[in-house]
Amino acid sequence: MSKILVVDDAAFMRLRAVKLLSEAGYTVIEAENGRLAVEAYTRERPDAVLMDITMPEMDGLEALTAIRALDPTARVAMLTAMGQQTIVMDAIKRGARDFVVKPFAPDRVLGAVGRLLA
Amino acid sequence: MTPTVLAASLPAVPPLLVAGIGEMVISRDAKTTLVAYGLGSCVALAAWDPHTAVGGLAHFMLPTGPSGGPPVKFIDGGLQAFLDGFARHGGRPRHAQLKGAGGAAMLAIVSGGLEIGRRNAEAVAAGLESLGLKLHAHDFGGTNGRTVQLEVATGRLLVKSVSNVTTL
Amino acid sequence: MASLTAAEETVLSHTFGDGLTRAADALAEMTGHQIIVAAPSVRLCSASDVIAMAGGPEAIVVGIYLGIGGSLKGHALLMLPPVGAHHLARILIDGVAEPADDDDLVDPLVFDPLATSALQEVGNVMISAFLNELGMHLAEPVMPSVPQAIVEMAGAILDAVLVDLSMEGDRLLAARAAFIDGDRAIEGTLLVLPRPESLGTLLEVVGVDRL
Repeated sequence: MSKILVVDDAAFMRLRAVKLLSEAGYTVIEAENGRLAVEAYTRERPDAVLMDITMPEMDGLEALTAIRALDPTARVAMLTAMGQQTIVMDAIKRGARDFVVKPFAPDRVLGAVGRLLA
Repeated sequence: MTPTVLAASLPAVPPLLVAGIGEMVISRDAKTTLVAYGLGSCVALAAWDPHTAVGGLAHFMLPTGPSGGPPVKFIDGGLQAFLDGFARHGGRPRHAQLKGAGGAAMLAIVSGGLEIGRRNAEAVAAGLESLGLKLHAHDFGGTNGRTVQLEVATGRLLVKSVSNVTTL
Repeated sequence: MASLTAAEETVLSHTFGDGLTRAADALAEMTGHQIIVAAPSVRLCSASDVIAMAGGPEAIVVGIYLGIGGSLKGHALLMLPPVGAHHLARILIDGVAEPADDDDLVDPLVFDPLATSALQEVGNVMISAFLNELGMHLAEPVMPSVPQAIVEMAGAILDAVLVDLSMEGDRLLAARAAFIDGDRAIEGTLLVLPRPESLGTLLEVVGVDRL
C-alpha cells in the first residue's frame, strides 16, 4: 500500500486530501508546513508527496528542494493555489514532477498521484 | 439578538462628530458625541474638561512620521496639535480628564507587524508625560478592535468592542 | 498616489477586473455553486471610502487577510458577514448543498478551527486566483502571504492596512467586488489594495502589453 505525504498549512485542505486519498486506498500522512514536511519525509520515506507552496516557517518550494536533496528520487507533485508560470517553472526546476492548481477536481489529484507512483 | 451582536451595535446617538484616521474633533456642544470608529492598531485620545465642558477626541495612526498632511496622523507632532486645538476651544489640558484607548495587535500585515499598536500606546503615554500630563484611564492592547464614544455633556467614554462595552 | 489618467484607470480596471473574475471562478469551483460578481470597481478613493466598501466601520465581519508580495506589493481582504461565513464553511466541510438553519448556530461570531481553516483557504484560493491573473503580465511572481482570519469590526480590520497605505498620501487604489452565491445568498466582498509603487510597475507592464 503506497504511502502519500500531504503537506498543507490548511487543516481543511489536509482533511479533503486525506479523505480523497484514503478512500482511494492509500495510506496518508500529513505535515502542516515545509519544515515538518522535511522531517516527516526523513522519518517516513513516503512513496509520493503532495506539496502546497504558501505555508509558514518554510514554504513548499524550499521544502521541495530540501526533500530532493535528501532523496534525489523523491516524487513530489505541487498542490497549490499559486499557478503563475514563473512558479510552475521554478517548481519543475527544483524537481517537482507535476503541478496541480487549486481548486482541484478530485480526479486531477488522483491522476497526479497515480502518475507519481507509476 | 445575542449579547455579542448587541454590544457593538449600541450606536452613538446623533449629533456626532467623527474623528477619522489622523483626524481630531473638538466640541463644546453638550448634545454632541465624539466618535472614533474601528481602532485596530490606532489609538484614540479623549480629553474632557469638566468645568468648561469641552470635549476632544484625536485618532492617532503612528508614533512618528513626516510632517505636513493631517495634523494628528503622527503622535509626535499630533499630540501637541490636539492639545493646542483643545485649548483654543476653551479646554484646559491640565484640568482635563485624559483617557486613551486602542493599540491592539490584530493582524500581522505584511509591512508592519503586531507591534504598532503597542508602540502607539507607549508613544501617547510618553508624549503626555513629557508635557507633564498623564492618562487618567486607558484601555490599550489586546487583540480586539474598539470604537470609542465621548459624550461632551458628561465626559463619559464608552469603549465598545465586538463582544464587550466598557466605560472609562 | 494623487491621481490616475483616464487611460490608466481603464487599463487597471480591465486588469484588476479580470483578476476579480478569476477569483469568482475559483470560489465557484470550490463550492460547486454559481457565483455572481456584483459591483466590481477599481478606483482611487479615501480610507473612509474603503471602510464603507467593507460595510461601514462597525459592521462585524469575518475578515480573511492576505498580504501581497513579490513583484507587486499590497494587501487583500475577503470579508463575509458571520452568518454567511458559517454557511460557506459548512458547504465546504460537509460537501452538502443544504445549509444549516440560522437557529442551529450558537454564536455567529465563533468559528471552530476547521471552519476557520476552510475560510482561510477560500481567501487563499480566491486571492491567489486574482494574483495568478495579474501575474500573467509580470516577469517575476506575485505571492500571497499565509492567510489570517478574524471576526471583527470592519474598520478595525482595515485599520493597519489603511495606516500602511496612507503613509504616501491620502488617496488609495481599491479594487473591489461583491461575490454572491446565488444558491444560498451568501455575499462576500473582496478588496485588493495595492501599494502605489506597485501600480506604477503594473501600468508599465500592462501598458506595454497593450501596445
